[in-house]
Amino acid sequence: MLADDYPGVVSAWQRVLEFSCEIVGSVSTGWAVLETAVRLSPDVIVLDVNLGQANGLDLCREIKQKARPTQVVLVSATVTDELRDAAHHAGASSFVSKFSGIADLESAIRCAYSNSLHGSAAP
Amino acid sequence: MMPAESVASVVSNNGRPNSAAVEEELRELSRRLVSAHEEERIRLARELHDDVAQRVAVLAAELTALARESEGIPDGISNRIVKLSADVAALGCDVHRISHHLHPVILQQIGLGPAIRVFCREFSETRHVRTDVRVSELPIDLDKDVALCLYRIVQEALHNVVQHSGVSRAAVTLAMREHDIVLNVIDCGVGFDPSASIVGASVGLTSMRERVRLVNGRFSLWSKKGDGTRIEVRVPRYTWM
Repeated sequence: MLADDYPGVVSAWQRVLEFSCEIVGSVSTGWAVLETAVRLSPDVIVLDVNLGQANGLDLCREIKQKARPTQVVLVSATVTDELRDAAHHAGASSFVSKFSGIADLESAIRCAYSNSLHGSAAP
Repeated sequence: MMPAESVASVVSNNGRPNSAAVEEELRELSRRLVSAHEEERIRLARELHDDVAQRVAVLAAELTALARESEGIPDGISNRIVKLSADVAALGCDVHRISHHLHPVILQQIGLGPAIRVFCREFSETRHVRTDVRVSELPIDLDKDVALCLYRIVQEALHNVVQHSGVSRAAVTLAMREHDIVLNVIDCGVGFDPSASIVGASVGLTSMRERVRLVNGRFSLWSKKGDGTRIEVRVPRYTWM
């Protein structure tokens, strides 16, 4: 499942990721993320840290509490050690830059999917 | 320019200005100017982040996909596509950095302390001013206006270090002291006479003073020619204190 408030980014991800993943849905607003995650129960959600006015870190925490065993890959335009720590404490499986290339995103999704299969969850 | 009714309200019946009222009007004007400044920054930051940065992110993704799908094309062209993808990604990071400088969303994401560490580290790397940072534990529920004020003070003060100090090292400390949050920005540069009027530096210092006053804080400046500069800001943890 993809969650980003910019339609162009979602389209680009869908086109590239559809060869390696099954995309079960996409959302563009913070309030829709949790409801859709609970309803669709995706293995992995790719979630933008800045989803409009919503804080992706807070959404990640909620997803980990209410939509188990969904794993979360957080993406942001900037990745810093502090944000990476915050993402880890929010329960994200990994934290990837939007500009680091599709290969990094795919690798993060594969790792998160593996976590969901083995039932491991970040704190 | 003050509205006519505001001008009228500060003049007493005998035509002499009411100094308390003038001061209150000036404070209100100052608050509005700072608020307007922040609103404009937020607007620009959103345009950059919501439009330009996202379009660049799409370009970067499309170029990466193109490089992957271009099997069989000459290596030279394939390598150029890969390089273009990297250049576009770097452009996207720069646009995001500018957007973030205008409006630090990271403040809400990870809190004031970590946000200041991130800013100082990026500042050190881009402006070549080594910035030593010490941040103590801060309240989780820190007022967002206080957090933004302190963040802007750090931005402005370090900008002044680059512009005026003549040195390439500064220190930033941030700690709780009883009910106040205390910020210090220090350099061992050329210093200046605070009582003298220096265009540019004065505007920046006035802006800092006003921001601090709007959150009921205290702004202090120590500087002496040849002996560096220290800015200290004390702000109550809550703006209504």
